Amino acid sequence: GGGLEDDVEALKRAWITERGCPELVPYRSDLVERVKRKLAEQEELIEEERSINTPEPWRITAYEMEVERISYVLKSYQRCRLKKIQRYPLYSIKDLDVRERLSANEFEFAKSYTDLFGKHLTGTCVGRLPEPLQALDEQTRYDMIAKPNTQKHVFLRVVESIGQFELQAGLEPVFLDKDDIWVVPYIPCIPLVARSEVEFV
Amino acid sequence: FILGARGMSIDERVGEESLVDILREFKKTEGTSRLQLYNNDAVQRTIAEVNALFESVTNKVQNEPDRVEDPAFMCAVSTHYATLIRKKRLLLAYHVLRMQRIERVRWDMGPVLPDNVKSILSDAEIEYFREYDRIVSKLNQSEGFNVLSDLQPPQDLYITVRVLKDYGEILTTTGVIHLEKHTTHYVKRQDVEDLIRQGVLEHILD
Repeated sequence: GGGLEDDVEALKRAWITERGCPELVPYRSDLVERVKRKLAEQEELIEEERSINTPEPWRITAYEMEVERISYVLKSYQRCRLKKIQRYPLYSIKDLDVRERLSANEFEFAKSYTDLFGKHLTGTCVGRLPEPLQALDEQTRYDMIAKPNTQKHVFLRVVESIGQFELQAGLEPVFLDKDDIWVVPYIPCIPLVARSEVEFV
Repeated sequence: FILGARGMSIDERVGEESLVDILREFKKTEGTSRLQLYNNDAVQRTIAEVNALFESVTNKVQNEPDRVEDPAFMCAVSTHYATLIRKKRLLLAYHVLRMQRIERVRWDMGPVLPDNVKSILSDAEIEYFREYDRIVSKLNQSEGFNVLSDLQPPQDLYITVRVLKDYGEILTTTGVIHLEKHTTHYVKRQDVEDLIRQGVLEHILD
């Protein structure tokens, strides 16, 4: 139906954004809930068609393929986020901004993962070092907490013409016209991403 | 003492050297889940080195408190401290790199730890795999689906597989099939993904 198509497109966009962005993007919980519901409905439809011995079995295959495609995008979206949580576990739960971007389930996972992570490292090596060296979250003399590299370059497409934009103080500003694709450092573009003036590709 | 780390004997640096070599090996197999046998020797020696050096530095500083005014003395203390931090980093890097690969095994192979991997891990790491599987399973349960399945974009809905090991009967979307070694079956890819990963079935491409 029409509603599902819009949501699938939105899911694909959310997926591409999550893959392109170095940091965690706020979780699209409403969208995910809707997609999951539609998937469950499709599965029911498939079961019905199967049980009535339909004269058009190709329908079942078509529905099944659609379910597989959408499932894949949904799971890949979740996995991309899991990878980020696992790469920056302490940061994901300690930084309040980032923590808000996690779903409730993801936050539970992040907490459990961080605990497991800490327990393992303490047990195998760090716990057997002298007490002042046992910290896993030291931030005073040096920063032990891994954070995403927001200075890396990302691929962005300009959604609406922005005109002049200063990427870096002291450098010539760039002209961002609609449909341009730029490879630029992520940090200066954060406000543009937030206002959906650019999107990841 | 003033000479700092260079004043250490060759023996004292053996543990650290081993870890550095091991970490170089990791760099070569980046992106894979390849693992060598857990090198408990190198780990224990490095831990012992850290404790010994720490004790020697703390004793020195405590016994000669008036020397904190001496820049040369404090420079040596800083150097020793930097050495301690470096060894801590080596220990952490070694364990974390292995943890990442163990997680990768869970992603690629599923919840059952293959025997050939199990024999390479330390007891603590086997426990890590189990705990990690537990928290992943909890997440799957709350999400209502297996997040770590469908790892490849869907291509063919149905595929031909050959049975590599006797596995008995399985229930698929199209009914019950008997997985006898050397037989082939035309099945829905989703139903048998796990078994392919575990090496029970082989996907035959035509």
